[in-house]
Amino acid sequence: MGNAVMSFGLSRRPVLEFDDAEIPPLTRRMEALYHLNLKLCEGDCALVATGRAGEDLPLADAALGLAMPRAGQVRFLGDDWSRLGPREQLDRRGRIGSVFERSAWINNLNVLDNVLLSRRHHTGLADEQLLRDARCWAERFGLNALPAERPSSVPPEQLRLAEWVRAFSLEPVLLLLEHPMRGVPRERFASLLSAVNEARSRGAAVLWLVADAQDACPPNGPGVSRFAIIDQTLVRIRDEG
Amino acid sequence: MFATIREVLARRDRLAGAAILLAAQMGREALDRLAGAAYIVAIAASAAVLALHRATWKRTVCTVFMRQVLFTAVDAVGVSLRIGGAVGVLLFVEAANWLDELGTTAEAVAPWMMAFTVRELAPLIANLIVIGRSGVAIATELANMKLHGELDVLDAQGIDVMTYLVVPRVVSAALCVMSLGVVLVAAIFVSGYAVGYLTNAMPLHPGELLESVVAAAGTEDLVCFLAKTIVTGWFVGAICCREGLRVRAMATEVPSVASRSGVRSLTAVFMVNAALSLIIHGQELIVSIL
Repeated sequence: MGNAVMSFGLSRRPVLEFDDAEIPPLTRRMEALYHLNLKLCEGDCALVATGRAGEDLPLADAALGLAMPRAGQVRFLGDDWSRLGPREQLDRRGRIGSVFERSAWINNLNVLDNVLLSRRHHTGLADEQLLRDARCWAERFGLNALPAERPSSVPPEQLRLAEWVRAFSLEPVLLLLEHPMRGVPRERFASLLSAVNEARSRGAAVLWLVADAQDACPPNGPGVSRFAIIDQTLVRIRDEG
Repeated sequence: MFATIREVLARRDRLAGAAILLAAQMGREALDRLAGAAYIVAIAASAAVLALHRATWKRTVCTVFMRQVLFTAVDAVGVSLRIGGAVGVLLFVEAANWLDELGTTAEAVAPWMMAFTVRELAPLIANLIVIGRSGVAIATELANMKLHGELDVLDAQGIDVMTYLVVPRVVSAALCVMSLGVVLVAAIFVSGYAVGYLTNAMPLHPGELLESVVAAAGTEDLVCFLAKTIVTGWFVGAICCREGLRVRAMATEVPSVASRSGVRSLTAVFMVNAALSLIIHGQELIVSIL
């Protein structure tokens, strides 16, 4: 586990780049982020320790192109989010698999429909295929079945696992994992790590937000870099491998 | 003497100041209302442009559209039949009271009554049903979605809120007003005829009556019916979506969003109806006035 990442040659294309970006807060409770510098190429994984303020940082929003930088640039697949048109932005967001810190569900759809929504919207794959893939990922993460109930009547642990299913079944080029282990028993970590490494070996970049960089033994090895949010900026801690 | 002049001048300045404040307030109100109307027209126009693009109709959008049609039209057939039936009886009884005074017969009035029903009454009632059953529900649903951050969830997954939430609701509102309009015309016709037949006031066979109604109806009636159902329904959908998405941050805003969407939709239905009447029938009126 953890060794199946793609080979790290020079030809890997950049997936997500923060170039001296200053991200304004999206809400009053959020904090701004300054002078963000980060480059994630295919197969890379950045672990960002957010500390207690994790919920109030616009880092994932900036990566998704939902929060535009006041200064500097945030680029996804080489293109500055702020220079892309609305339709291009939407198409690109369809290639990002996310586990959200905040509310992640459409309440008038059941969990299964929620999980399938993005792929049904962005791909032309048959519903049977999408369902098969989702069930496959659900089994892998220890969910017997994807709940057919509305999110409000599903336990938080199952909801979080269903979020994993949604994020990974997209076959994303970028995985944004905001505290994915929150509310999930530690024994599920191995299956998450294996899925992350598999996605990296396919060429996906991973931005993994944790409360503490030492939490639950996140991935190690080549391509993994560690950061912490200190004084509202991203500080590189150490590299492994 | 000087003090008096000073007092008069001060009073004049105060009055002028109050008048300016009043004018400024009225101007602000007028500008706000104009901006609101322009925003609604913009949503309606954007929905029309997007609805004409094939790429908009992804299967997820089609699913939302089908659900809306089911709720707005199919589930509302029963209430439309009941209201249409009652209106048919009401119309016939009211007309029968005037027949002697006007020196005419039911079969002579029937085509005129049907034309009035097709052109004005059925579209108006269909709009009222859609506003009451679905328009307010649309506004409340969208307001709750916004308050719970669900629009951000859609955005983060690359799903356009306008395409996924607004377009299917606006299109379904327009089509459902038209469909319910047809149901209402049929219900009014059948119940009106049934009362006339039972009271021996309508000697014509249903087929003969239908023939005379069809013969009296012109293209203008059809154009009027389509315009007054589709255009007004389109605006009802746009207004309810706009009101729902306008909510800011408080759950307490939702009830006022619901009532505001109902009132504004009603106002729009009457205003758009009046405008369409002027456009469709107004030429003769304007010529006669001039």
